[in-house]
Amino acid sequence: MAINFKRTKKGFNGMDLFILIVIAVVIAAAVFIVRGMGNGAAGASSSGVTIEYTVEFAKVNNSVIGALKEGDSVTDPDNKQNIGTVVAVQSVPYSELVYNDNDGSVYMAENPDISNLLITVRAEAVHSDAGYYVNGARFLVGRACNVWSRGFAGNGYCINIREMD
Amino acid sequence: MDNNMKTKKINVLDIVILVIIAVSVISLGMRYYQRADITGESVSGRYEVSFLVTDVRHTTADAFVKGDRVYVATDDTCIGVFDRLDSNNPAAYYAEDPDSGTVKVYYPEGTRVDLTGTIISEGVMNDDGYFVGGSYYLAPGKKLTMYTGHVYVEAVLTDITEYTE
Repeated sequence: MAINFKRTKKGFNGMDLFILIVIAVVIAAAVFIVRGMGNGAAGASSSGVTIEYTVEFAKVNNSVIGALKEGDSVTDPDNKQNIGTVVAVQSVPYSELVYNDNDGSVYMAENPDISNLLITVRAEAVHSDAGYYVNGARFLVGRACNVWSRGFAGNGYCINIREMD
Repeated sequence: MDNNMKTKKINVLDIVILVIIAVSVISLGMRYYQRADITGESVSGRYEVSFLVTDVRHTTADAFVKGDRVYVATDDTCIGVFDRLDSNNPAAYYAEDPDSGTVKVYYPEGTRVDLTGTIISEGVMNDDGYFVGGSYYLAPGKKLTMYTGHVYVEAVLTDITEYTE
């Protein structure tokens, strides 16, 4: 049985180049359409930045106010990673809106037994369309934020993020 | 001479690739214009999507940044670009009055606020409604959790109108 070892013409020709160009254009157009129409996933572009974020813990019992101090490290309880160092601690009396049915006025009534605890934390973050990420923990104003430290654990909300650079 | 002619012919593989490319392009086009084709009455372009955020901390307003891409938190779909805050007023509060029943009052300045704003979005408007990118349905009354690179809020859409510069 004879085997034909004759080389056939399978070289790269102009048509192959044309097809590759067309494929590249189609892929580029698809990416452009998907991203341009807004269905691209968040977080495509990102940059490193130093931030100070403030977390408010509402209705904290006054007895634990002193448990968190400047210089304390804080940890994200979900991924157990460090999420910065406390640079400021402030407490304000917890208050809620009260309606005075005598004159129709409203006022903020303070509760002397509980406070809102505000901590400001400095950290190195990566910023993207999806927000600020500190060691995998995501921070956005208005988003829930859980914090552990040596003497305190709380669930609060991020109320401010400031870029330091 | 005869061999050279053979190498320039389109072979079966080339035809298969061209068909795949054609199908891909048609599919992409159909995906974008699918809704428009159903009714025949559609306008694609830029739209202003208005939203309302109620009862948030007054500092939240500062976290809205013009040009930030806006995503729906449940599926990370981008629905447009944040353009502006249209209003920033003390949040409404509904109190019970013994004489007049439920009365609408407002939080004091610097506490809780209601915000309205506008997102610039690209999509298709037809008889079925508005579709971001031709496929993601939005309509006044729809409640969604949305975020940008700086803020995370619960919002309700209040209006969708054609964009005018």
